[in-house]
Amino acid sequence: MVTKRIKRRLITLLALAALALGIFSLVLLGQTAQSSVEFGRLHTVILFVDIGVAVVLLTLIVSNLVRLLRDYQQNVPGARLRGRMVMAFIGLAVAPLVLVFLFAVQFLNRGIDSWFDVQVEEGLTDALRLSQSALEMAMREDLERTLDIAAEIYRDDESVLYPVLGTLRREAGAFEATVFGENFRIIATSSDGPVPPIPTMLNEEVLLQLRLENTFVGLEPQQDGNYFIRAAVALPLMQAGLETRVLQVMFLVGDRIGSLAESVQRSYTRYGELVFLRGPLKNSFTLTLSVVVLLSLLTAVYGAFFFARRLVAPIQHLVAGTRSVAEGDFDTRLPMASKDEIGILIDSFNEMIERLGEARAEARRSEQQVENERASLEVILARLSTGVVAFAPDLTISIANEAAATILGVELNNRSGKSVSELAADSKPFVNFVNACRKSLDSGETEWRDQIVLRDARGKRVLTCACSALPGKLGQRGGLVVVFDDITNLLRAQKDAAWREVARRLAHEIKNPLTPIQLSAERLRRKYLGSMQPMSPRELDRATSTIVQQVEAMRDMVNAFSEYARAPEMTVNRINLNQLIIQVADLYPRQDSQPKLTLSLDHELPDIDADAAMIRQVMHNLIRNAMEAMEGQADAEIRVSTRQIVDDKEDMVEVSVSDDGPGFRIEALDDIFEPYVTTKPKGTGLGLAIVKKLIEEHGGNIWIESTPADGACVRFQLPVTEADATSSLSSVSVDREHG
Amino acid sequence: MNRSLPRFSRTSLLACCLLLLPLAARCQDGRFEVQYKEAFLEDGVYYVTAWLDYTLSSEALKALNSGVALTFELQIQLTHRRRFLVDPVIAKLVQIDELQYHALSDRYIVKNINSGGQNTYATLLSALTAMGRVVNLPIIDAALLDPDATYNVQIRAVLDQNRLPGPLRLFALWQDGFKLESDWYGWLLSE
Repeated sequence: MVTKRIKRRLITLLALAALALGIFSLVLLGQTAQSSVEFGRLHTVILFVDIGVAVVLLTLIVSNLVRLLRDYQQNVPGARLRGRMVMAFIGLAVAPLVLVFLFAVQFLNRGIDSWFDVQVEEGLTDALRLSQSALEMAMREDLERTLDIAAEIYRDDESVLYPVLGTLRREAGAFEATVFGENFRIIATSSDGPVPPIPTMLNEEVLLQLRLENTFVGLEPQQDGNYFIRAAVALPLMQAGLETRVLQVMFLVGDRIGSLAESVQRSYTRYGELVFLRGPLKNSFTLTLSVVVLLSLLTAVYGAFFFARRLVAPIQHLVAGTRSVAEGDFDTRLPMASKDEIGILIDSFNEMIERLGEARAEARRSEQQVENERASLEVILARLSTGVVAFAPDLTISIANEAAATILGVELNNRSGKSVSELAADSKPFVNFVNACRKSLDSGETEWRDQIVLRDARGKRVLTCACSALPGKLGQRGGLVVVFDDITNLLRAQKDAAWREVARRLAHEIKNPLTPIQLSAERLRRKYLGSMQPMSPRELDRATSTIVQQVEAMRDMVNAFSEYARAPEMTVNRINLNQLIIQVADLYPRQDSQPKLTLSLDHELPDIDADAAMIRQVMHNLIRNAMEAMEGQADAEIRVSTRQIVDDKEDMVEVSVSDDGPGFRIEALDDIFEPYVTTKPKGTGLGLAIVKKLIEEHGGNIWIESTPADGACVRFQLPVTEADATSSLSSVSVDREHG
Repeated sequence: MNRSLPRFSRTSLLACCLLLLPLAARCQDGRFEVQYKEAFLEDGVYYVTAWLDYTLSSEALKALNSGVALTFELQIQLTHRRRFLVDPVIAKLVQIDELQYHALSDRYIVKNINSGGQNTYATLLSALTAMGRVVNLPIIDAALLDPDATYNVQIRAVLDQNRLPGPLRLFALWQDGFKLESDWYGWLLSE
């Protein structure tokens, strides 16, 4: 992000630098255009600077164009608007610029053409010719003077050549006069110049001319702007055999004529140069102007991209911000673009997002609070022994605790939203529960209390139910919550207590008169048995025997009641249940008339803390009951099995005694463990009641699973303490068929 | 088919000639050439004498007659000759002459920029000839050279485009008429 910002600033700086350079070159062009010399000196530099700037701008424009096209193809928000703005800006900038350029080129060409004029050219040419004519006249005069000097020298004696030459030179007004011999040998010289004089040497051109015409005159421009007229004459031979001599006289052109001639020369040369350079000059101006216009054009185009991007950027930010908010990101904040209307819009957007974020945070806090309360409620519900089931208005389960699942015998965890009918298939008690509730629900009764009786393989169970309506939303009907408790054990305990009281009273009330009755019957027998008529003693004997037998029977019954009623004194020891069962089974040897006793014992069964005598009595009662149930039945078999039940709550050992007898009717199972309930023609009806009482004294539970076709199975479970579990390895395990 | 082939060949040949004609003409238009060169040792100093042929192109001639001054550079350099390495330049001498037409006197002025002296000539030929005569130009003191080393003298003549007037300078970059220069002419420096 930072790198991108730095890059963008660098590009902007580059564009600004290019723009500044372009403006600088324009100013420079304007200044140098006043002077062709300055323009000529700098225009190449200006041109290359402008070309460099144009290349930079062109690169930036191409980069922007590529980015715009890419955004356009990818449907980036704002790309189309940016494209339209760029086109509009370019259209506004290009048209006037092109017009200005065309007018400027025309103006420039005409301006340069106006520098040149036929009349000016003719005037300069005439001035040059006039100057040449004036100088030619001076040259002719100087040649005449030179000829005069030559004639004087020719007459004089050679010995006085030097002084004569000086005199004649001064008289002629010459600057320098020199007599050369052969091979440019200087014979005599006189000059107004430095002393000693350095004479101007002859050259091949002068000698060539002298050979042709004996005289030479020429104009020689000097570096300082002065002009010399060089006049040379071949001197006639003094006598035959002497060397050829040449007189050369240098005349300085007068100041007036010289300066004027130099001025004409400069103007003519300058004008000629300008005429020659007119084409290249116009081309240079046009080229430079074209580059400058191109530069301006590129700057305008880049400016169009730049400003379009700047204008569209806030809109793009708004679109991106809106999308972020739509995706749930409320932390998005748009950068403040400016203080104009767009800025106000962005400020409002940021404020709206902030408020939305606060509202969402508040909603989350509320949701979290509700969730916490719900979790607390679930914990409370989970710890309750009372079953709680909440139904939605459509009778789907919304909440159910573990106690409800345990009581109803159906898995209710993670079943929220399931309908009652879907769950009914899993549990018969649940069906009974729902049916019992449905009666009230179908009648529209929402506040009710009732006792519901459920039946399953474990027998009858009694639930107390209370139903309440839940509050609905906005006047709609809410759901229902049903709270229920399994009071089967409570009722049974109450009933057992009542029976024990009855038994105790009955034993007390009946036992007391039995002894005098028995004693009286025995005394009657002893007293009157010998003195009675022959037939009477038999009758007396039978009567008294019957009384005594019935009294004995009543005593047994009373003892049984007494045993049931009294609180047993337990002697708890560490016992191995398998060994105990084997010992009990050994008391029932295999006889043909008796059922086969089969043991299936768990080798890993742990020892338990229990009263061995009581457990032994339990096993005797159960085995005896089974044998009595299958009396006279062929191939009868009694199966005794043990196993360990490892549970999350409590480890148990389970003993089951099953037979192949007729079993129990379902309705008989409800009261089978209650006193005076029996399915046999004989017996007190206290056997199973006592068994149940003994098992419950050990903290266990007992039940009967029975179907008329498959016989009966009595199962009881006893708890295993921690110490019991650790001693399991030392226990004796037996698995054998008894008898 | 047999007739069309020669006709095609003739047409192609003619087109090639027409295309090559301007090129050939341009090659003939203007030339700088070193015709004679010599280096000799005298009084412990090495001198160079050379004759150069300056032939101006029509563009250069037109510019000269229009008053534009042309600058000629005579470049002489002495290199140390080595077998496997690049020959380094030991000494370099540049003689600059400026040629200008003087309309008033109808003469050509040759100004030696190095010495400041100038001469005038009645004809362009005599001016160019005078510029092309390099006589006894001292290049280096013999004491500065390694007597066991081998040296090369190289010479060439160039029309200096950088001293042309500005507008002309830009276009001279791609106009052959102002690209006048001779090849490098080199020879072994000996006593």
